Amino acid sequence: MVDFTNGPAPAGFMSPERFEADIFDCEVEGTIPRDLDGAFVRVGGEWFYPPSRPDDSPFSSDGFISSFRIRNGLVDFKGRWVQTPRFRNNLAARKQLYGVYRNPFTHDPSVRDLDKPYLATVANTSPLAFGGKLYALKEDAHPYEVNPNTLETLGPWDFNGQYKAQTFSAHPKIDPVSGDLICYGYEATGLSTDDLWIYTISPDGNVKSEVRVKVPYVSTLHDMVLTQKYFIFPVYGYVTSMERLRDGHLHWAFDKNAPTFWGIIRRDGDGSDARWFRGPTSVVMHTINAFDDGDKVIVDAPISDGNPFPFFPQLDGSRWDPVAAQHTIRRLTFDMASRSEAYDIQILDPTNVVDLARVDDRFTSLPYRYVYSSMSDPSQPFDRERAGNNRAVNTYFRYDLQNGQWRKFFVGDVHSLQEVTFIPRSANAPEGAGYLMGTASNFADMRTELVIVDAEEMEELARVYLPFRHTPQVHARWYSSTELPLQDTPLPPYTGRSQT
Amino acid sequence: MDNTDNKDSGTLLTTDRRTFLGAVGVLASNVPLPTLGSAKQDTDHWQQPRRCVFQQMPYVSFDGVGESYDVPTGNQSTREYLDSISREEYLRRHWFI
Repeated sequence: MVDFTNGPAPAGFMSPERFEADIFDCEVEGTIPRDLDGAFVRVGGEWFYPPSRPDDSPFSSDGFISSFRIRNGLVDFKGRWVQTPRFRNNLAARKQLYGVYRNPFTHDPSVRDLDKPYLATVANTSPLAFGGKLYALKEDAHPYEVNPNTLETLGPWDFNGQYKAQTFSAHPKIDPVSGDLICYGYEATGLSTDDLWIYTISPDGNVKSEVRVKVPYVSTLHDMVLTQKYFIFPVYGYVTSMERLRDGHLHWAFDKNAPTFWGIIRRDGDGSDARWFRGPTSVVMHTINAFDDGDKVIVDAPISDGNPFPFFPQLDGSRWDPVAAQHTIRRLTFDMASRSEAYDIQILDPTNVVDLARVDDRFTSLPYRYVYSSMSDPSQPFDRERAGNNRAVNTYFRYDLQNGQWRKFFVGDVHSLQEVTFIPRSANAPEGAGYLMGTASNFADMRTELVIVDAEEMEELARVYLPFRHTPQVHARWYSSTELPLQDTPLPPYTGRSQT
Repeated sequence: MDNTDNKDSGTLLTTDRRTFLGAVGVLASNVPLPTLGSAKQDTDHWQQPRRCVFQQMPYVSFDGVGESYDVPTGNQSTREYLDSISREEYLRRHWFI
């Protein structure tokens, strides 16, 4: 029997929905630009069965992938569970067999495999389209390939055996110059190992290079940045160990005394040139972009001074600090000509922002101008009477790195936004000319809405209404019909009788 | 005056349906064609691109005679659930929503 009365949300907007969905021809207000031909793909997690322990992380919830297929101003929606072995095992047992976040010691003995922790993945973090294929990613396992039209799970993919690491990050990068995929796995050889393996994969799916390095300490390497010369990896704050896992804890704890390291590794090298710069404690869960500037490397990222996640405990047992959890956009400068391990940190603006920042992907690894993300703008209204005492990420913003100017879009007074994505108007459009797209939770109407915004005017163009609350999202991306072999949604089949 | 008005009203009220529709047809036939054309154009907003102006009003009455839409007053279960846990516990359970 499934029982959510003990949480994590027995009722209301956050309670699990547990169903898969198809909507042919969604309800749309406004006009969707006719040049949008592709799919907005969303990956997140939902508890199909309640977690085995109340202190587990929402990052352990079951992976769910969905697609808003957009063409000719029309929208068709589809959502499916990612059918990982974990999801299938739970269905077969009709209960939650798995313990807490990335700790196989806490799993039911029937599914416990300490040598293959990747079998417990939930594929709930991020989508990736590459080489005409669609994947659902989580950093503790290989990517799970999904049919881009049916969202049927096709299974884990190791690039024909050429990808050797056990894990594959949720934030690989595509080099817009070469078209190559830069991806990596940390804890690449098993639980709590300090191996970071970095791969360059050509668009035809063949591995062009593999670089193996050791990290200063085992930590979350959730995201990276790229320049035309270097791979760049932040190592920060979150720590783990086999002892910690044997004791039954969640995979990560936050050590507020741990330094931040930045590893800068030549893309054309073998890893022996890796330089580790050292700085103050911080968390760099997500990055923005990086580029080369002569002998200097410039890295932009939303960075917090402390642990942003209250579900990963403080190592010293102290209370979670919501102030230290706030992110500001910072620019880091690394001087590759110096022998110092220090780097320069500049807070570009003191505004507290959501760290799910994006750029025009055509400028990844290159000098660029605009940063897009979301924030909670306190100058805008929030109707707590109708929406509850909820989170209110109510504003998309565009931050101009050239002049420090902000442009904002307010989504509504009962809404909270998920990650935004930028879509260029055309392949040759100048940077910033295009659309912003993302979903918003409408707490009052108990539904999810897809918002499409002019990225220059920051004005709403269209809104797509789902008649239900969609599963929580971690990351989402737009993929055009040139990136994925997307088909028009077929008319839903009918095989019943007809009156003649 | 009152009597005259009453008499005129009574005449209109006693007009049968067929006579009324006939009169409307005659009147419509006298309307200049450009006016009829512009009347048709009034429905063109269904065809033209429109910028979305989200105002919590998903059911807009374009002709002004539709039913009024009462915005929902929120979900009581959501509010009760949120009121039952601390802000930190909320973030711990529902970091992404």
